[in-house]
Amino acid sequence: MLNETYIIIITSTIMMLLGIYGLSTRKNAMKMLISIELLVNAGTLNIMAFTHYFYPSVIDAHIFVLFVIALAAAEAAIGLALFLALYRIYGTPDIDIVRKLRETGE
Amino acid sequence: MDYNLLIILSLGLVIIITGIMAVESKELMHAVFFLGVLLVVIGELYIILGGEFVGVVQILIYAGGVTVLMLFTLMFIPKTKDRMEKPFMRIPALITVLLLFTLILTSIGYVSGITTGSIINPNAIAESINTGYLPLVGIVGIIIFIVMISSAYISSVRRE
Repeated sequence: MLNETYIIIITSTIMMLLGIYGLSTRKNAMKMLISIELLVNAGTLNIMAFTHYFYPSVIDAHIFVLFVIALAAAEAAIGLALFLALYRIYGTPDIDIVRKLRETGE
Repeated sequence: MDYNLLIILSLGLVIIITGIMAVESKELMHAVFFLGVLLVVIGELYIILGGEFVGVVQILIYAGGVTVLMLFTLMFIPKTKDRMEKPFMRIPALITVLLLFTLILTSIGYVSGITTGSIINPNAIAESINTGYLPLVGIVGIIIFIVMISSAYISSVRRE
């Protein structure tokens, strides 16, 4: 039962669950960004594990993982820019304080 | 136990422990360092899985670029003592995570057998990107260009 692919899939599952847990329990924007990175990496690790198991000689999954890495780096860049702007305007990295878009009279 | 299996098991344990530390550590700087370790170990797992090129790119871009970007961003803000948690979300999140884990564990139970994968040649990846995936490369390039401009604009936002 215990083999390489199984271990890697379990690892990526636990990573994904950690990402979901962090995303739903943290208010700090940086922690949320870290949780999103965990989620993205869990997905790519899963793709690699399944490709290694089912289609070991197919390269398409590797290319998709490269694209995902590029887009995740872009996402991290814009997330950090938002984090800095948030901190500059509100003085705290707390996401809950950003309520300017919400309708008044809640 | 197989030697290869032992290495993958230990790498998986390192990933899980550093992931927990990255989410749970009080200091943001420590969390980013743990994330960096996790990303390097994931790169090693890619290399073990036959994707040498992807592993190297993961270590260069993710563990190198993104982690350093996060560290630089953290240098701009003062230390925050508050843990910034949503305490009321802890139990629902834990229940959701445990339910999802059980669901996924039962659904992947059929995976069995040791695999003998081949190492993917980087030349084949480059050739494939240059032929079949060229439109996708263009789209990703445009997206990254937009991200560059918009992050420069967002960074210039000041308090009214």
